[in-house]
Amino acid sequence: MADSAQASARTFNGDSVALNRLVAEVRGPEPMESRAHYNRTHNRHNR
Amino acid sequence: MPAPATILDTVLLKVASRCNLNCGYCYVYNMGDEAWRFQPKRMSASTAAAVAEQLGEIYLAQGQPMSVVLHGGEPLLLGQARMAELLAILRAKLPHPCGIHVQTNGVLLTDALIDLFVAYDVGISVSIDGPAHVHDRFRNDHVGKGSHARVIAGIRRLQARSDAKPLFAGVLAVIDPQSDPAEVYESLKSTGAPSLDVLVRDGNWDVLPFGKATPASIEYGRWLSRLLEIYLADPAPPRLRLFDDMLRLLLGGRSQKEGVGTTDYGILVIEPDGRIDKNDTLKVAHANADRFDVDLNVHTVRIADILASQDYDAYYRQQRPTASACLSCSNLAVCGGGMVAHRWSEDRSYNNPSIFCADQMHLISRMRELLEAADSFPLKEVA
Repeated sequence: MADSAQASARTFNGDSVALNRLVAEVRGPEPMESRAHYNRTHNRHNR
Repeated sequence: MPAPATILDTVLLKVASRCNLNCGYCYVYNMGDEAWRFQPKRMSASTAAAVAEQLGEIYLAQGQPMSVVLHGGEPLLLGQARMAELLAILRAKLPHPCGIHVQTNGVLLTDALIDLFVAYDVGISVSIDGPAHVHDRFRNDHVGKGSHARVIAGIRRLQARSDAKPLFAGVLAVIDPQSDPAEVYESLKSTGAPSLDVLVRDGNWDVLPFGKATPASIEYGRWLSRLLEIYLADPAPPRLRLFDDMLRLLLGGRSQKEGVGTTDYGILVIEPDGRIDKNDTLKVAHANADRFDVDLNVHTVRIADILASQDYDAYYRQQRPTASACLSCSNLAVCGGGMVAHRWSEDRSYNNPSIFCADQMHLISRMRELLEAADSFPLKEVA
C-alpha cells in the first residue's frame, strides 16, 4: 500500500506539525470547550 | 458551586442493549459479564424522559456543562422514531454548551438518522480498527462476516453530507498489536476524520490483554511508540487524541481524556431500563464490578442524591491509583495509572499499577526522547 509505505518511511526530524499545534495550544488561552463538553465519546466502546 | 467530586462530566446513555456486531474483544458481551441479557432491547420513552428530566436538573444545579454519549450495544438500534423522541427531550433539557454524542459502529448510519443528528447537533464518532484485514479480524457480525465495508459505507454517507461534516468527531480503533501501525494510521486517516484515537485491548493482572505475553512485555508500548513517530512526522496530521493528551501533559498543559493524567472525572452509565451504574469499563475487572452496592434507577432515585452518596464518593476516588509503584513513579502525572479496570487482580483488587504499566513506561520514555529532540519545545518536568 503506497500510503502506509509513505507513513512507514516517515521519521521524526525534530520538526512536527502535531507538536507545533500542541505547543501553541498549551501556550495559548484556555480553549473554549469545557472539559465536559470535549468529545470523549470515542474513549470507550467495543474495546 | 458543588464540590468537584459531585460534578457530573459524562453520562453514557445505553439506549440499546444489543449490538448488530459481535466483536471478539467486546467488553460488554465477550468478557464474561451477562448483565445485558436482562436489559430491554431499547430504552423506552418513559425512561428517556426520566433521564432527560433529571440530567436537566443536574445541569442547572451544577452550573457546568456535561456530555451525554449515546451508547450501547449499538445505539442506532434504537431506531429512528425513538431516536427522534429521545434527542428532542434531551436537547431541550441539555442545551449548548452541553454535548450530545453518539458512538456507533457506523453500519446503520442512514441519511434519516444523520438528519436527526444535524437537527440536534449530535457529534458522531465511529469505531473502526484500520484496514479491512485488521478490522475484520475481530469486528464481525453475528454470522462471522467482517463489517469493514459496511462501516466505510456509513462513513462515506456521513462525509457526503456537508451539513453533517462538522458533526464527524472522529474514529476510534482498538489496537491489534500484531498489526502494522503505519498501515492502521493511514487507513484511519483516509476516513477523513478530524480526530483519531486508539484503545488498548482490555485485560487485567489475572487475564492478560490479547497480544501481551507477560506483564513486563511491551508489545503495546512498541506499537504505540511506532505510531507516535509516524504521527509526529506527518506533515498533515489529524488529531490523535491519546498522544495529544499525553504530550500536552508533558508540555505543561492539561489532559482531557479519561485514563490519561490524574484528572478525576464524574462518569455514570444509565442502562436501557434506567438502572444507574458506574463506568461500564469496570466490567473488564469482574462481573458486576460496575454496579453500585444497591440497585439504583432513574425511575426511583434522584441522580443528584447518588452524586452526594458515600457509595459514589468511593467510586469516584477509585480513579486515583493507590499502588506504591504508581505513587512514587515519575510518569504518574502522564499515565495517571491508566484505566481503573486494567489495574485489577483478584488478590489485590485495584491496588496495582495498570497491566499496561511497562507499555506506558516505554511509550512515555519515547515521548520524552522525541520532545527533547525537538529543541524548540520546553519540556516541563511534570513529575
